Amino acid sequence: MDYLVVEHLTKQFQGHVAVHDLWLTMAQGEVLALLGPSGCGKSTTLQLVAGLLHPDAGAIYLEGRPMNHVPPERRDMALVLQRGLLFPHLTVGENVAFGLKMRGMNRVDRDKEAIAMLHRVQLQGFEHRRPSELSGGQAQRVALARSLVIGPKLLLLDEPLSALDANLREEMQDLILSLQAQTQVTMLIVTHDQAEATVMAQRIALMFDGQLRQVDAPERLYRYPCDEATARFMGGVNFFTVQAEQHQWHLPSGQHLTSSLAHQGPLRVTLRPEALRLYTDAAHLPDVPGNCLQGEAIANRFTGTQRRITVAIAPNLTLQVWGSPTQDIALGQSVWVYIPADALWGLPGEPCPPVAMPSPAVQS
Amino acid sequence: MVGLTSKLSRQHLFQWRRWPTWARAYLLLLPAVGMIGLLFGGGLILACLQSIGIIGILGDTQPSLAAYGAAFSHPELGRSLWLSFYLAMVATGLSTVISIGLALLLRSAGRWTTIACQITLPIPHLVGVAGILLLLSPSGFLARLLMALGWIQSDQDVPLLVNDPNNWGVLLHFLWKEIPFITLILLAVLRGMNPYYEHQARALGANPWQCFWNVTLPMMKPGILSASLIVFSYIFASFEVPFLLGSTRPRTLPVLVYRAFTDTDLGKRPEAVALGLILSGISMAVLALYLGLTAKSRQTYAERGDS
Repeated sequence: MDYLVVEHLTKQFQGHVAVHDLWLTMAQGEVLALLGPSGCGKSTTLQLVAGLLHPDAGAIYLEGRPMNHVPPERRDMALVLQRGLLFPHLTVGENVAFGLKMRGMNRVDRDKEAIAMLHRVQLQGFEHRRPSELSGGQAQRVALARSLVIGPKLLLLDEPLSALDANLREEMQDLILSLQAQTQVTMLIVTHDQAEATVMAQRIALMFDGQLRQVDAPERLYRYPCDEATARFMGGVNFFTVQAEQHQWHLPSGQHLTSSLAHQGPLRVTLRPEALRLYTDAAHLPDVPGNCLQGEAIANRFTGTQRRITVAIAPNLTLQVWGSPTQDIALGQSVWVYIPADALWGLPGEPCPPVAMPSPAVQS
Repeated sequence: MVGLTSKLSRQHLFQWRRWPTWARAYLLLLPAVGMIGLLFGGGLILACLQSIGIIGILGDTQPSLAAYGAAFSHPELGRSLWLSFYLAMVATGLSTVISIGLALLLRSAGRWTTIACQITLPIPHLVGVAGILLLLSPSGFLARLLMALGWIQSDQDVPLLVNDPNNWGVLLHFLWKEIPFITLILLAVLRGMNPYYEHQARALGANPWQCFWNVTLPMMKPGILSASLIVFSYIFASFEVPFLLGSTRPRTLPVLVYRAFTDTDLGKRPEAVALGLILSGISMAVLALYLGLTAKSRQTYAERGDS
């Protein structure tokens, strides 16, 4: 049932543990993002899956077939790396046809397939160009075509878009996703960019220090992070501690919040800044007891698409709220923050344990 | 106004930084190029004048091409030319192929490989030649060692490796000297190469041999070409190694030139100079041909794709 299974994967480099006891499964046709800060071992994991590195321990199965002793060229996987890495001594067409040539396909057929594939990445007529004549985005499209043309069982992408500028990145995300939808290829994307992982992947595997911390759908990772480090990596900014009495969560400042979750005892709480609402006029507050906190705006940052407003609620409690870009708020102004009951999320007191058992894969 | 502008431009003349870049580049190159031009070009012109009889050695200055006629009809010219070419080709080819293998083997080894390759670089060819004579000549170290071990009865039993008709000694010397040199260059090329190109090739389905043939070797090609070009042109015109280690007959072209030049008959000097100029001409023609061919192959490689 599981298409790709990674069990107990471990890799060390001269005493430094790059990947430690990693478990992961993927369903056929799934797009999974391996997300984490640089140096967390996600690229190493990708190279282990591709067979370019040998694990110290653990096993990799593709379609139930053990892969540990299969050389990279016989794994039926393809790799797209940062900056495309097109072979500089070959033309664009020859680059795309490379995998087919290695499989012994004759010249006429592989040229035909390469040209058809270039057409699909919107680079028709580029087959005679040199890689040095291409822009970064074009090179990355050729790299994608070169990987997809061999019909891989698993497409591995290592930071494929991080060398591109923002607009181009969005365009390439759309292109990759539409090609994935057409070919139904299973894709494992390595990225350090949580926004990219969120847009592209059906599930995100978050990795810290060589271990998987949480494997979940992007929305769940945002809303229900398993610990503070995960929440912070996913862009979380609001953290504070409450004393919970079932649905009533008491702040140290004496105020209390009503949560849709029940808990007893001290609890670390996080709030997504986009889930909060900001009011400048007490008359317009929603008619919900408790969950409106009054404070003073102490910072107001315009980001283009929104305003990041920091509100000091109590001496030890500030909250960041995303306001509308047109809502101008003066520093020192008195404001109200409305916290929806379902926006409150309690974190366990300690970092959550590494994902040690395979979690069920999402069927696409 | 006119006075002002000319004053300004005269000021500019002394302001080095305001000179155009090309002018500064040429001026900075002038000492080096001038030196080479004076010593090398001057010598070449003098030799030319000597060979066509404009500058005489015995006082007779009668312009003629007689020296070239004599040089071209020299009985050994053809065989000497062939021998020089053969030695340069074989030594360059062998050391290039061996160096490619060595560089691939040593690419992931530590810094010691670079140092090891540099050991032979400062040793002059003459010292290498002396070493080979001491080691391999019929009364050399190897013969005495084998005799002491009782493996051979007399020094006549060791194969002749110096001054032999097959020029083994010459080839051995050049392999000893040039393999580390080419390996050093290729190691630098390989270590400067992004290893992900090869990873990419393997992931796309290339086995290690296909990866080497289709990716590693083509990417090493510029380094291989320039290193082998340097080695080829050196060996082709090398004098002291074939002179000391080579066969007595036929002789390589540089040895032939030297013999003619040191002939007791001073009347043969113009012929010797003409032979030397023919050697230089052939050398340059071979280099030009080599460069032309490889430039073309570099271009066509892309179109062909298969190698």
